[in-house]
Amino acid sequence: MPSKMSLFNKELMLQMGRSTGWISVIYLLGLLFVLPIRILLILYSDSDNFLYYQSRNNLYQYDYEIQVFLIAIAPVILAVFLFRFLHVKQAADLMHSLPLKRSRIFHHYALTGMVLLILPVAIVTGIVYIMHFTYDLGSLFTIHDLLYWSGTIIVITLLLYIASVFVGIMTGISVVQAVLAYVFLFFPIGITVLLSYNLKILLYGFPSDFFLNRQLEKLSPITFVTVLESRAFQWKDAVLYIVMTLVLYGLSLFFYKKRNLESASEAIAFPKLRSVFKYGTAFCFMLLGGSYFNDVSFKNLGWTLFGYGIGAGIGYFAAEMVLLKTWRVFTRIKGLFVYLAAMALFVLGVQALGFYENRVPEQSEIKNALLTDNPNFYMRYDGFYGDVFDPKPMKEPENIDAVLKLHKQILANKKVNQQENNKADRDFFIVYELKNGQKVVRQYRVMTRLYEDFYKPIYESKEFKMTSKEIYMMSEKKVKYLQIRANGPLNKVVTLSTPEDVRQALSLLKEDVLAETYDDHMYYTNGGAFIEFNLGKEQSVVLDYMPTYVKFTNWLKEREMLEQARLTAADISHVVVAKGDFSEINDSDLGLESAIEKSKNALKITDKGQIEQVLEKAGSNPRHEYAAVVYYNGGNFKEIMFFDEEHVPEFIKNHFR
Amino acid sequence: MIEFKNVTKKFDRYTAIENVNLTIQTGSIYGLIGSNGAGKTTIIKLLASIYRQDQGEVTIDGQPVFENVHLKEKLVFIPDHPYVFPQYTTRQMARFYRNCYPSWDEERFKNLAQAFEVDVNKKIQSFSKGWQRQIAFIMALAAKPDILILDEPMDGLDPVVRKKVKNLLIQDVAEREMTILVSSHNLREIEDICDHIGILHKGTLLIEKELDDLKSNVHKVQVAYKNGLPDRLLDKLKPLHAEKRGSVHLLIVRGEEAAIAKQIIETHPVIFDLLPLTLEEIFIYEMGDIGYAIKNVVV
Repeated sequence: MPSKMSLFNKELMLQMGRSTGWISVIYLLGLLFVLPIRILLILYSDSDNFLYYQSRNNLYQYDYEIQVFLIAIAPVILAVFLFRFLHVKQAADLMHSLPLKRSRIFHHYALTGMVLLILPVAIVTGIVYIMHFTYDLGSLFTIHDLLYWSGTIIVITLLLYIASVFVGIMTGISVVQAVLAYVFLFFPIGITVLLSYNLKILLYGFPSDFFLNRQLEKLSPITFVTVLESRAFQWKDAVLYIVMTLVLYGLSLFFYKKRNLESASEAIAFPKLRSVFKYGTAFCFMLLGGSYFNDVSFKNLGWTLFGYGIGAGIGYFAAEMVLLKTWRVFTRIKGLFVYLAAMALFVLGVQALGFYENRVPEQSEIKNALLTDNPNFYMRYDGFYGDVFDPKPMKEPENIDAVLKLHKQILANKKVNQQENNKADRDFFIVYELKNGQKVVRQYRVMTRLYEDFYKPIYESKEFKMTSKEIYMMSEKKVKYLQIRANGPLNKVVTLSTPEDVRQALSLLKEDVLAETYDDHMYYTNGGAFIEFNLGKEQSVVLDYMPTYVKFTNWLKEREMLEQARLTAADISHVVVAKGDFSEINDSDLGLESAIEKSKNALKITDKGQIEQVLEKAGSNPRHEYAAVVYYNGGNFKEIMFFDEEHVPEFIKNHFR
Repeated sequence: MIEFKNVTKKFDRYTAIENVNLTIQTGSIYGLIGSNGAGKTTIIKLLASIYRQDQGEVTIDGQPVFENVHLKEKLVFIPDHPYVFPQYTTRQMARFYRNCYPSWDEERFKNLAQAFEVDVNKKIQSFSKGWQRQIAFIMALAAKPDILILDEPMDGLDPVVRKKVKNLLIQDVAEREMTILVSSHNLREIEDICDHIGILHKGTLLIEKELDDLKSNVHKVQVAYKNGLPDRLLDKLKPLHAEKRGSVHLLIVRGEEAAIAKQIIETHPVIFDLLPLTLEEIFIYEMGDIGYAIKNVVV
C-alpha cells in the first residue's frame, strides 16, 4: 500500500498513454516515413534524385507536405484528446473527485502531452543520427541540419500544443476546442489581414501591403509551419516561441484552477468570455464582409457598407448559435444593434478627425525617407535563404524634400487617385523615419504620368539609384557568373564567368545605370533583353539590358560578344510598322498584330540597316504612337514593339508624314 | 463532521441551491431527499469538491473541502452514472484507485470482487449498468473512505444486490464509523438505512431530522366509537391530522405511545389500533402545509 504519494502519479500517466498514446504512435510512424525511410529511398535511388536532395537547404524539404500535415495536426489532436476529460461531465467529475490537486492534474496532463510530442521526434532524431554515421550521409545534410530540424519541430509543436490546451481550458466542448484552436492559431495573421485591408478602405494612404506582406507567415505558428521549407527558423523565433509556450502554460494552469467544472459541454467555459467571443466574432465577420464586398463591388461605398452590416450580423448570430447550441437565435437582436451603433460612431469619429490621412511630417522632423515602387521591399524578410537587396532610405535634404513634395501632391489629388477605373499603374510606398524614432509609412496607388514631374528628379538622383538598385547593393565577390540574354526564343546568350570579366562588366554597368535618365528608363524598360547575375544557391539578380547602356555595349563590342548578346537585324526577317493608338488592344498579341498589319499605310521594312535602327530605338509602352510587329527568322515568332515621336527612326517618321 | 454553512451555488444565472445549512455527524448515514432538480447532486458535488460554492462554507471537521487533497484522500464519491476510463478492466481501474487513495485495501478489494462474483479481467464498459454500479461500490469500499458520497446509488440494482450493498454499507458504518451521504428522489428506497434525513426542495433545505426521533414520536391511531368521537379526546391529543372514514376515525398523534394508548382506552372505543407511520407519512403530517406541498416530491 503506497502510504506516500510520489511526485508522478504513475497510473494517471499510464491512463493518458492508453487513451492518447496512439496519436504519438501515428506521429512517430509519419516522421519515420518522412526521414529515415525517405533517406533509405534516396540512398537506393538514381543519382539525379540524390543530387536533388544534396542541394536541399534543410531537412524540412524531405516530403515537406507530409511534415506540414503532421506538425499542424498532431499537437492539436493530442491536446483535444488529452483534455477531453474536462469536456465530458462524468470524466470531469471522476478526475476532480480524486484526491489530486487541480494543479497536479494539469501538470500531469500538460507535461505528458509534451512528452508524447517530443518522444517521436527524439526517436527519429536518434535513428537518423545513427544512419548519418553508418551510411555516411554527410553530403546530404549535416548533424547541425538534423539538430535544427528536431529542435525547431519540437519548439513549434509544443507551442501549437499548448495553445490548443489553452483553448481547451477555455471551452467545454471538444469539437469547439479543435475548431477554436485553429482559429486561435490563425488569429494573429487573420486579424492582421482583416485590419490592414479594412484600414485601407477607411484611411487613404494606409500601407496595407506593407503590413500584409511583411513577415506575415511569421505571425502565426501554424503559418510559419507552412513556410519552414524556405524560411529559416531563427534563434529569436525560438526564444519567442518558448516564451509564448511558457506563458500559455501558465495561463492555462491559472484558468484551469479558476474553471468551474459545470462548464463541461458549454461552448465557452467562462461566462465573462462569452460576450468577448460574441462581439469578437461579429467584429471579425464584419471586417471580412466589408473587405469582400469592397473587393467584388470595386470599392463601391454602398456595397461595402452592406458588407459590413451583413458580416456583423452573420458573425453575431453564428456566435450566438455556438454559445446557445441552437440555430433559433434570431430574436436576440438587441446586442447586434448596440454593437453596430457603437461601430458606426467609432468609424465616423476616426474619419472626421482625419489626423492619419493628412499627416505629412515636416522636413525638420525627418531623419531619412524611403520612396519606392518596388514591392519587394516589404516582401523580403529575415530568415530567407540568400541575400537581400532592399531599397534603403535616402538622407539627402533635396531628396527628402522631393519625396515630401510628391507626397503632398498625392494627397492634394486624393479624389482623382481614388476614382474607379483611373488606370493607376504604380504603387508608391513612402517610409519616413523621424528623428524621434517613429516611422510614418504610407502607400498610394497612382497614375505614374500625373507625378512624373515630382518623381523624375528623385529617380535621377545618384542617392536614389545607389539606395534602390540591386546592382549597387550586391557584393561583386558573390557573383558566380553573369549572363546576357537577348529577347525572343533565339537562345542568344553570353556568359561571363571569370572574376575579371565580372568585375569590369559590373563597374561599367554601374556607370551606365547611374547615367540613365528617367525618360529612358520609362521608355526602354521591359524591352526583353536582360542581364542576370548568378549569386549561387539559386539566387540571382536581374537587370534590364537597355540600349542606353552605352559603355557596357561598347565593351561587349570590343570583345566581339555583342552579336551573340543581343537581337540583331540578322535574326529578323522583316518588320511591319503602323501609326495609331493601339493601347486599347494590348491584351493579346494576336489582336495587336492583325491590327497593325491591317492598318492603313502600314510600312514593311526588310532592309537590314533599317531593321537595326528599329531594334535600337524600340520601347515597350503600348501607349506610344507607333507600333511594330517584328518577325523573327523562321516565321514562328514575332514580337510587338512601340515607338514615340522622339525615338522613332527618321525613315518611319517620313513614311507616315 | 460535515458542515454546510449558508452555501449558495449558481450555474450562470440559475441558482441551484441557496443558503443551505446542513450538518452531518461522523458515523451517520444522511439521506438527502428531493425531486429532480432540487439540488441534491449540487450538494453532493460540492462536498466531493467537484463544484466550488459561490457563497458559504463547506467543511469537514472544520476544514474547507475544496481542493483539499488531505480530506479528499478519505472521501469517495460514486456518481449517479459511475464513469470508468474507456477500455479499462476492473483490475486496471482498481490499480488506478489504489494509486490515488492511500487507504486502499487490496485484500478487501479481492474479497469484495469475489463476493460479488465480478470478473476483474473483463472490461468494465462491457458490463451492464447494474454491474458497473456494483463494481463502483467495490472500488469505493476497498478504498476504505471515512466519508462515502452516493448519488442515487440504488438505481439499476436488483433487490438482492441492493440488500447486499446496504448491508455492506451499514457494516462499514458500524465498524469504522464511516459517514455516508446518500441522495435519492425516493424516500422509501433509503429509509431503512438512513438515520438522518434532509429534504431539499427547489434549492433550499426544508427540513433536517433524525429518523429515530421522528419514528418514536408520531403515531397513527384508528378508533371507532358507538356514539361518535368524544370531543375532549381531540382536545387532549391535539392530533396533527384527523379524518373520518365511515365510522372509523383516523388520527395522527404526536407523543409517547403508552401515554396515547392510555388516554384513548379511557374513552372506551369500540375499535382501537395504534400503528407506526411510514417515513413518508411522518413527513407529510409532521410538516403540515409544506408537507402537502412536497407530498409528490418525496414519493
